[in-house]
Amino acid sequence: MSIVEDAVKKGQKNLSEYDSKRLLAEYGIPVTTEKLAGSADEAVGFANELGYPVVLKGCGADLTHKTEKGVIRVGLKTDDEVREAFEAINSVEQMDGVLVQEMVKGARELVVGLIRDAQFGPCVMFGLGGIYTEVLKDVSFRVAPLEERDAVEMMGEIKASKMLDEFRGMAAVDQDVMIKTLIAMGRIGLENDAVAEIDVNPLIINAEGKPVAVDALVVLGG
Amino acid sequence: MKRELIDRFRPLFYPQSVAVIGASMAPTKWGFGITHNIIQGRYPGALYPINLKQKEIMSRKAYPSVLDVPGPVDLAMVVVPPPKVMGVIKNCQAKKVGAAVIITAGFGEVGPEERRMQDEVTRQIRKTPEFVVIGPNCQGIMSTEAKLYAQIIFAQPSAGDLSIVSQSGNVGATAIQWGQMNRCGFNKFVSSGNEAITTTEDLIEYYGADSTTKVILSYVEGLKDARRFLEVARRVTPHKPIVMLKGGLTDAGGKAAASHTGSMAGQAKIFEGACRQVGVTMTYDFDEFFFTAAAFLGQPLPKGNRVVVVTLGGGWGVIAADAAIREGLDVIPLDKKIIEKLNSFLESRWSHNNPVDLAASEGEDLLSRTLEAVISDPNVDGIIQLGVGFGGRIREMRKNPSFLLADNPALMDLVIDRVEKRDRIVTESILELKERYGKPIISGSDAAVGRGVPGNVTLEHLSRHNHFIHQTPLRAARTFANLIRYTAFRRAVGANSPGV
Repeated sequence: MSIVEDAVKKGQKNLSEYDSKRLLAEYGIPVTTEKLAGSADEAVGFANELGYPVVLKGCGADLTHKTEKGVIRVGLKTDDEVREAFEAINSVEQMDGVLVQEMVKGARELVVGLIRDAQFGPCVMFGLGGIYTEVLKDVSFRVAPLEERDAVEMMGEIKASKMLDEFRGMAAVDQDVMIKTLIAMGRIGLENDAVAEIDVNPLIINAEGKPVAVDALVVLGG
Repeated sequence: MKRELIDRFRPLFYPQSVAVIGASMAPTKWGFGITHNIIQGRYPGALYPINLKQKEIMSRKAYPSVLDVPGPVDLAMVVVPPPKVMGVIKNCQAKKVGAAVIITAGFGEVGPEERRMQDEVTRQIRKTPEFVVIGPNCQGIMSTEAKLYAQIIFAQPSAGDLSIVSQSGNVGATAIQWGQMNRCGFNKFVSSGNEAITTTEDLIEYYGADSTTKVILSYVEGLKDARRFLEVARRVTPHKPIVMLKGGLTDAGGKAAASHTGSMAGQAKIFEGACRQVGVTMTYDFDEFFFTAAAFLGQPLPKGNRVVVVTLGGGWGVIAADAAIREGLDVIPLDKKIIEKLNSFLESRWSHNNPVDLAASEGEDLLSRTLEAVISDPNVDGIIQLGVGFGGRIREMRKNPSFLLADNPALMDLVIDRVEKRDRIVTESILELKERYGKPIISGSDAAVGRGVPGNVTLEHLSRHNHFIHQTPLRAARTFANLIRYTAFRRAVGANSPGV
């Protein structure tokens, strides 16, 4: 895939959030609607296209720990807020641009990932996402290529699996989309040797059960 | 393909002639132990000790080299020091030996120089691709049908349907011991050592095709080709269970990972996920490993997880119910119809619930009638049955001169006859009900603890029918849960053949 090949040629260690999501989207994984803005004016233009509220995020292949660096602003409702956020984010450090992203609301956060196990090769991870991901480690794994049965079973294995059903007035998660997403993650690993690891966290499930990847990191190597 | 596989492993498991290269008369040498064990195991084929100096070893004519043996040699047991192995392998190839087991240690498991030596030998072996080679650094093999007990531990398990491949010699030996303690037979056993040529995956593939193996046991620490293992397992598990114990699930030391996913990818979770994917039954300690495999031999597969506990002792019943729930079983409330039926013949103090506690109700056939009343209900998928084999135990206890009625043998005989008759009725009904209703009855009993099966006529009878008794309620519940998971896997992949 040329997104990956390009990045490898440039000697990048990761794909930026923007490029990571473009790669996921190529494989049919649902991602946030977003555009990369190079100027405050562009940002305002995109925000109006998307419709408020929007999220602005610093974006770059080496830009990690975004929350800690303060390069994420959520719930922006006006052109002025967008302008102000753009300037604040852009001045923190060198970056490719500022991502203007639809704001996704959903109480349920999942994590989906990919690793290359030394023994089994590309493996897909699924589990409870958000800030407690590494604290609770409520995750399951399967070896790529995944079949539909594998995707269904791995989702049922996590302790938090009940939240995928109808839950506190929210619709059950779209099983079909989740199955396709997990299978696709495996395919990315099998088809792109240069992709070493992938983190998609959070994959937010909205009240209607629709899953959307809100953040993504593709790590290159190998 | 299957035919080729069976043919290729025949010299290993059904050799008509065996050479022990490095056979010795010195009792401390492994060349002595291997030769001795083959002879004591009553191997019926031609046995050729190979020794540079001796003309005769243990009353068999010895030869200085395998090339000097007059007839064919199917299997070579190699027990010479590491520097001599290369020469021996070349001779075996010239002699067209079909299979070899390299017992010799001190190869790749020691260090890089030794690793290089092992690689050289490996390259030489690969020049004859059909040559099946086990090891190096292994304890040997057994094939009970061929009466071949070519391994260093002096053990002669009875023949049965379980086949084992173990990457650890001592874990393999423990499995054999447990088999003997529980009177469970084995079919084939391989201590696979360093797996320089023939790997766990290769042996599982063979056992899968082997018609006399019904259940496969595998102990692994590391897989040479994990993806091939998955492919092989996937083809085997729909018709034959693979029960696995993995050594080294915890990650020692930190792991540098570039992503959060990477940092959470522990060996245990990945291995578990992979095994679930291909239907391999993973177990987590020794007796789960053994008893789950043993259960696959003699238990009908449960169609669901609704279980009733039937117990002679209340405490065991409660613990079993707790354990069953923890294992994800459904300890269902007892149906009204069953309660009515049981009310008609049990003492009124019985528990009236699940667990069904007979509360020491009098009557030799009460337990069997209870089992039938429960198992015949369509809402019950299986029974955990607690308390069996006490008659057999009493017969043992009778040998103690301070035992009850020791000074009145006639009365003692009467008591023992009565208890054993009750035992017989129970054991017959357990076996008959499992068969008739096609539902599992998993038994647990104190009688299986300590001395256990050997000498207990009741438990021996059950073992002969592949019905094994768990020592604790938790173990019974674990086994049940493993049977259910396997059945669910077979259903999920559309493999609906009844039983194993």
